[in-house]
Amino acid sequence: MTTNRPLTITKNVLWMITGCGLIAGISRLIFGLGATTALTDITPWGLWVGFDVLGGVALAAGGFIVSGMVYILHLQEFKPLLRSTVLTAFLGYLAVIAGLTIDLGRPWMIWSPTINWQIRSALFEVAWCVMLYTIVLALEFAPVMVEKFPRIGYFLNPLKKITIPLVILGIMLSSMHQSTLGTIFVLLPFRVDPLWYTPWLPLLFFASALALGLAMVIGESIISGWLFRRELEYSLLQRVARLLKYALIFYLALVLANLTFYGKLALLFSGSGISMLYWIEILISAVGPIILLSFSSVVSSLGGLGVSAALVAAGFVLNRLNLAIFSMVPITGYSYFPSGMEIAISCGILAGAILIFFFFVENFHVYEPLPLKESADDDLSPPVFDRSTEVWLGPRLIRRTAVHLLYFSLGASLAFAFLPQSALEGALPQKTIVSRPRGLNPMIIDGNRNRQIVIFDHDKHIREQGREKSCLLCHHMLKPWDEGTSCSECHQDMFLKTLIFNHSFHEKKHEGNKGCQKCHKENEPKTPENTKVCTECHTTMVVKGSRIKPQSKGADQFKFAVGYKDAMHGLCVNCHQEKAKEYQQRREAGEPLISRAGVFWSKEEWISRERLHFCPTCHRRVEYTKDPIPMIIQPQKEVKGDSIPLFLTSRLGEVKNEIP
Amino acid sequence: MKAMLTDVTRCLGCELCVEKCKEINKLGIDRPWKWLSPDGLSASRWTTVIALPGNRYVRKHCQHCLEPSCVAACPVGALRRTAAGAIIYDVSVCLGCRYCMNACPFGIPRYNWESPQPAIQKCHLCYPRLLEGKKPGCVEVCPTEATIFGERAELMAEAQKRIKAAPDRYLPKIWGEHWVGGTSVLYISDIDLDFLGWKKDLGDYPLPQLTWRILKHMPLFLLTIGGMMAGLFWLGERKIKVQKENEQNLKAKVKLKNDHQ
Repeated sequence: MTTNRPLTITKNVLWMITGCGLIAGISRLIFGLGATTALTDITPWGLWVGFDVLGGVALAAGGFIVSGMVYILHLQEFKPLLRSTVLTAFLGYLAVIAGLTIDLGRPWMIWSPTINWQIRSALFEVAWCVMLYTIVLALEFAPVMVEKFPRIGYFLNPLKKITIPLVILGIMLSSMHQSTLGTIFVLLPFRVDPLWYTPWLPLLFFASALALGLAMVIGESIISGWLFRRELEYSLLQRVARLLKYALIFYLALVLANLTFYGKLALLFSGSGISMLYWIEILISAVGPIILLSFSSVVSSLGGLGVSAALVAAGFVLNRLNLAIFSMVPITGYSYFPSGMEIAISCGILAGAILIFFFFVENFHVYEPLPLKESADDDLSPPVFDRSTEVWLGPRLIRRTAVHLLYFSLGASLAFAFLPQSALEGALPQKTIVSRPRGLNPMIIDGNRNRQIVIFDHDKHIREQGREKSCLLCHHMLKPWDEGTSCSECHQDMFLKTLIFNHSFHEKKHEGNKGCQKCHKENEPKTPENTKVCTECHTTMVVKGSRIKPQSKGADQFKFAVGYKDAMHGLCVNCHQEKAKEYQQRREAGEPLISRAGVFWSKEEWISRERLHFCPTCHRRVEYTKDPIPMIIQPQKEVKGDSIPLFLTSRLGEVKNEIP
Repeated sequence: MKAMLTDVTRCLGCELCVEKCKEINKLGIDRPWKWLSPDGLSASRWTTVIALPGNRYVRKHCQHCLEPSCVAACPVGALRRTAAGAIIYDVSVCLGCRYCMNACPFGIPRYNWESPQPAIQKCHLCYPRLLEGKKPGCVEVCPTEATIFGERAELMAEAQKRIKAAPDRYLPKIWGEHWVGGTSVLYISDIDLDFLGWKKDLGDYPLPQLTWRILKHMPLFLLTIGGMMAGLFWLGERKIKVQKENEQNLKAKVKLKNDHQ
């Protein structure tokens, strides 16, 4: 058997990855970004922008470089590489469009930039360049397809005639496009890490695209030579390698000039994780390959060339990823790691593009007919029987297609099996992690979903929040799909009801057990129902006309001071609104706009926070004075150094003294 | 040009503005999604009140910049600045690239990620209400008039007046006066409000200029590249032609020589 095993295995793996990506992609298109990605309001761009769009465009740079060398500079010796690099660029751009379709929130509006112009947007230029350059690449590659079908041969001549204008247009669009991709990030000075952020980004992008394009030519020739068992254009590749070295030196010089010009060299040696990434990127993409390519032994060996090209490609893809992800995420203070589906779709698009590349290489005249190492054309060999079952497996071509399909569906089913729940049902809000210790009431819950576990007394919450009515306080409060409202929803100190009844104080005051009957009824269970109400002894506790209303009935009614939010919505806001109305009425009636103390007040003072947000306003009669402005009274708790602004701490003493 | 002035010292933190905003814009209920940010702003909450220690409450919502970078970012003009100063969003042309979310120096635009037809969600200064001659909902309901609405110049004067009248009550700064080229949402406060920006010191330079000063040279760049390529092509062609001619001349000469002999 003369099967081309490496090629078959590669293709099977690629089919499998494509299957994975397809399922993930379908789920993404049906259920939306939230259900399938790890993107958030803080990190709205992720792997797809960094890898598929930026990386894809960069890797496609070989197309315009080789076509420029062949057609514009008349370097005819590079012609054997022309068709495959144009094809790679074309597929690269198709991959970019596929990546965009997946990444855009509203992919059915992808045509929008053609009609809705906004020339001040860098992304608008990028959109037009992607569109036009894809068309240009399609036209540049069209002759290869047309010459295969003699029936439509009359297209061939017009296509060949416009080659030169097309190539020039392609170079113009590519140059603009590669650099404008960098301009996109110039608008984000606060989002991009200072090490990467520079107004020179368009220049750096262009220079790196030149180098990357050359590296792609080398890498691609070597890989397809290995897979399709072709002899390589050695001497050519060595010339490309020399050019690559100069392009890299140019890029490195630009990078260093940029860092020096903006005084960022010191950041390189800060030793942080981010600066390490920058080092890795520069070493892989430029310094390493330059050193490697300076040795003639490396340039003359296949492995050396391959390693150098791979380093450059990896380095510049890392550069794009660094810019779009690693320099933009840590600065937010939050983390982003792509979800499995994001990775699956990215890999699927890449694998699909490579498969299409193989298809064209096998069926069209992409490579010059160079001597093959050995016959790979085994599709015409006789049919195969399975010896054990004597079943005819069909001609080899059909058999192989069947195998590919098998791997494809294997990948698809694997992806389907590992889809997260959200990718099958649409995005679901987060659930509270609750686990109940065996046989105990107190539950251990992650009440605020911040991975801090607290002991939660469920019974006590039921008891204190009104029995049956209490469920909806936590389990159905505003957030219907949530299992429980987070603790912080009620337990910020401003929302906390304050327990103002001190039992042990009363116990001590009434001489311990002797004094029980002073409040509790004799010989009856000591429940709130059988207990005196506070106001029976403390007759002056609630002044006449007070706005404070008891929270509950029975003996419990004065046990709690009203919570801040209840006070706010029940009292404060109403009071401000009432005062505003009173002011309006007085003004219309022509009554004097004065306070009870006889001082004139402006409208601001009638409704001001200081006047009305002052405990004695509701709790007892006080005479208002215009100056000094009564301050907000701090709740009696430990005042920590930084938690209260200077403005308040400096005046807190005064305020305390003012209150009798 | 309309604007909004928020006096942080007057805010009670009652969140009536949030309630009214939700009611007017039909934003629905808040749900605990995994992609929410800690400031409370979300696709269903275009304005939020951030509670700070010391009973300080700061409203956060779109700043309606005078030179908005979200508008400069949008490739299709879905975001647009109106003459009234409001930055409004048109979902019908949006393609969902989320460049505006990255470009905003305050990190304001939010996304309803859960939806298969997502859209940018942000405060539009109640633009439909402005057209009817009404004030934004949040201004209308504020019980202490902590947020007021009017012409930007008048509000600037009002803010300066308040700071002058009570210099010990306010910090001597109007947030929004020069912030990234000025905004239509102004703040006066007794605490530092720089935390509203994406970075502590946003500076006064309008961000859209950063890219425009590069992009405006692109047509020239394009033509230069095109011209260079055409020139190089012509040179190459000519070189080949001259070479051929020389060869022919040489051949002719050789022939002539041979004939001669």
